[in-house]
Amino acid sequence: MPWTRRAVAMRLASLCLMVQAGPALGAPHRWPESSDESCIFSLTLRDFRPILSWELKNRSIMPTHYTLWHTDMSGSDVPLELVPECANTTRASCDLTQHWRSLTEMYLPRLVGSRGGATLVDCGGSIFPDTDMILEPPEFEVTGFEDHINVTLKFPPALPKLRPGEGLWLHLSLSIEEESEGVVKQHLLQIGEHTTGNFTYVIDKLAPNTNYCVSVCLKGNFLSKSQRSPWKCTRLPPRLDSEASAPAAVGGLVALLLAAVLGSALAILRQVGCICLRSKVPKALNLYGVPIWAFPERPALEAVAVAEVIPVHRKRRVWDYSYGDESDGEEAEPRASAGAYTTHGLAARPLCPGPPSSATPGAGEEAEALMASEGPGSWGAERTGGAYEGPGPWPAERTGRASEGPGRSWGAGRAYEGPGPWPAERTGRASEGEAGAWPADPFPQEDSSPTESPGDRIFFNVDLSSVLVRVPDGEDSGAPAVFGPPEETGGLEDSEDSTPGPEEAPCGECDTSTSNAGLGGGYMMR
Amino acid sequence: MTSRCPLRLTILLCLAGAALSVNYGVLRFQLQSSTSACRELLRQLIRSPQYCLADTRDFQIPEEVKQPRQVQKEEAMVVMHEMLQQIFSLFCRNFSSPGWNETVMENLLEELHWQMDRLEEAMQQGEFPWESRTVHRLKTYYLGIIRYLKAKSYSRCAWTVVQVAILKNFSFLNGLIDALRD
Repeated sequence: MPWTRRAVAMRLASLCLMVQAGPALGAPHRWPESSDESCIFSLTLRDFRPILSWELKNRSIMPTHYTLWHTDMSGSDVPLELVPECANTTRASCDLTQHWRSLTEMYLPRLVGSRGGATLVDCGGSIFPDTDMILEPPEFEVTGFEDHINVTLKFPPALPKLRPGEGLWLHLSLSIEEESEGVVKQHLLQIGEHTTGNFTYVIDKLAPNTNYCVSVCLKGNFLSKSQRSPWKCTRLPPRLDSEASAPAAVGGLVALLLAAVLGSALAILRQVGCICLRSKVPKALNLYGVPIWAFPERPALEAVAVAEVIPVHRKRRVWDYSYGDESDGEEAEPRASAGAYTTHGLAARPLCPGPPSSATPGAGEEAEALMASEGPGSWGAERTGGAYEGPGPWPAERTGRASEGPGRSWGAGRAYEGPGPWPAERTGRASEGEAGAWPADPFPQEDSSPTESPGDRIFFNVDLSSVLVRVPDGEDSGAPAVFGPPEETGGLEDSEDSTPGPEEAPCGECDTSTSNAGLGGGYMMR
Repeated sequence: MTSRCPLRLTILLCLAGAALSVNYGVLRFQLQSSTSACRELLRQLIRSPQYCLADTRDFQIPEEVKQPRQVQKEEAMVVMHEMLQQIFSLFCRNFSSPGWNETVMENLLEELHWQMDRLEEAMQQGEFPWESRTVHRLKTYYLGIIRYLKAKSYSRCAWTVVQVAILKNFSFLNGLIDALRD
């Protein structure tokens, strides 16, 4: 029976191996004295699973297989137990989730490394998870959006099934830190039995177009060792909608509103006159550059002659004090020497030219000459024409010189001021005056200009139809020369030939008092 | 003027009360930091515990200390103070120093003392259950540790076993500190 012998040989060999590996694989109650501390153990909580890893101090020794035992110092006389998952393993780590379940226990691992059946290392150590276990951060991904970041955490699909209250992942919290521009913010998440699988944590209220970095780590309730994950950074995209520019738009609107308010306030202040006062002189007062004209010689003052205006009735009959006479009463024969009425106002001699000293003898004679010139016909004809038949246009200066020259005075009358025809009334009177004798044209054509200077004539606008012009009586006439309405000058024809008219009376001898007396209350006497 | 004095006095009392009131958030953070430091220091003292498997002992710490559930804040503070005081007393015995690092030991004692001071300051006001059952059991627990040491003649492995047990105590203290919430 050859296979029978082989079986026996195999059993013996296994027994030898067992005997040889007895201290490593058996259940010794004592720690083998051959075990040393040539190994460095480290416990890491990875995906909620305690992973024991080891490293040999003597790196020259390179076992190919490892076998792990463990026990604790709970005092329950727990034997050294083999970890089946880590028997003759080639990995340098072992998952002790089902074996190490308490944080507050002193665990004693033992590691045997071998090669080719030869034990190269037998080492042991102690692990107190509450102080020695390293919390490894979970895997995560970062996805950036406009204003938030999604942190996707990768946890195991299920927690280790342990008795209630057991498990090294208990009382842990997850810390997520975000960093941007030197500012770090921490977010804490409590890990429980429902923290399984992948889940996403959202970090919101972030600024767009900004770089953010995220890191995660696990923290125990007690200050245990935590390992922080590397930073994962992402740059948030810029905001595309109008909301991104809302703050800028709001700022712009605010600035525009402030500018409008300020501008309106300045405009109001300027309008009121509180600011921006005008320093420019109005154009009307701006005399700069205005050519200054040298005013010509001051014009002579308008000669003002004192004229005595004596209102007179149009029709007047001289009563000869004859009560029996039924006749209408002859009109008093006008004395030519008393003077004649004239309604002409074209030109007249001033009544009282002034003080005798200043009076020129020639002026009165001239007046007489003017008044005693041509007959009424000519006078009337000329006057009915109403036109000034002077040698030229009516000198405007005549009106201005009405008072010119001493001794020249003019009775009330209306000076003809234009080249036009004499007013109609004057024409009528002129026709009426045909029966009578008109006084001589005081300003005959031949005497209008050549014989006298323009300055000697004084003209002013006087309505001779209602006034009498009294010319002072001459020296020899004995009667004051009177100018009056034509109907009252009937006797002038007779007088004009022989006796000098009133115009002959020198103006210098004009005396209002005497003339008034002659007139008897203001009327001109013939 | 007279009407302002009561108002000012009231404000002063309120501020004093606020200043003297315990800020449990700060206390919790301080105690957790100190407890973590004690654990690190004590862990440095524990070497090769695998060789003391034969001397391991379950001292049977009270279950309400091991897994505190719905413990009151005042009771948690009393329990913590008792534990810290016992641990401090235990390490001060120093009947034998089997090659411990003296610097580490001194730092450990300082941390323990500092924690006790913080708790005592916070426990000046209010009523605390100093004679609770949990405190009594703790006293029994630590008495057993001392008896163990005596029985093991304060051997290296005995101290190692005790250190491991105390190391677990600090983990339990973190649970009690977590109960100090406003």
